[in-house]
Amino acid sequence: MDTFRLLYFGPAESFTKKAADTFSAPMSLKRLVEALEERYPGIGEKVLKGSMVTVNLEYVEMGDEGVVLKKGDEVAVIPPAVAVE
Amino acid sequence: MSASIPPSAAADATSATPASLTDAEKNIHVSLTHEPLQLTSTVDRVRSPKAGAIVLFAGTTRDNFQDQPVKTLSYSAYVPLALRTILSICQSVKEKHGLLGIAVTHRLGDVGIGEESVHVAVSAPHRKAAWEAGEETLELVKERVEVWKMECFEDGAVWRSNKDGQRGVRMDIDETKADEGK
Repeated sequence: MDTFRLLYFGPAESFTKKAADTFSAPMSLKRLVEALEERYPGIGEKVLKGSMVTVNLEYVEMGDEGVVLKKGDEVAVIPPAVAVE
Repeated sequence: MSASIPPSAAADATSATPASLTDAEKNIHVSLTHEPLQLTSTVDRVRSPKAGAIVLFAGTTRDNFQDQPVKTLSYSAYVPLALRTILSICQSVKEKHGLLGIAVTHRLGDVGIGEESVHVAVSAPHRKAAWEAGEETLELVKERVEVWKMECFEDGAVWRSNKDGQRGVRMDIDETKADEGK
């Protein structure tokens, strides 16, 4: 089965309690957000809102309905960066 | 690991630290490491016979947040993306201030109280440019780089926000520390 990986960092990793998930490809970013809410209820409000998304290390708009995640893509949820006091 | 530009050559989320990107021609050095940071090695990376000043900033870990005692701090990163972002910051600051060299290194994993979590070193022909570039680099690193800080207290842990003094995102009390790099 064709898949892509989704990586979780910082607060996203704490919320899902794992570092990564695998999803079947292709899948639109819009559909991924829905799938995440089904798998982790509340993630949209508590984590995704205010986070950014990267696809193969490039930032994309969370609300961009044209984004389709393909086989082998490395996707990541990037919560707001933190301090280096 | 060391890679030449383009940074995409090092684009591997599973990269083990220490990880680094070096643009030797422009004298730009970026790294992430789980080892304690060494002041002299950071400074040595930016030495130049044309320099009249080297400014070194060392960010250290505080033992409290708004008077609440902090037990430990732990940093995690999206390593390949963080390296790429720091490199891009270094390139633009170096050009803007006419620097001779610039080095940024950030520590990951548990960092003891009072130890350094980040070093910024810049060299320039004159001190004013070095002071300004050093501060600007640190502020941009704090604002943009894909590194997350977790503060552990006696009764739980928070992911600390990037704004000084802002409340963090509280984790469940029974939350175990997030594993890195998996």
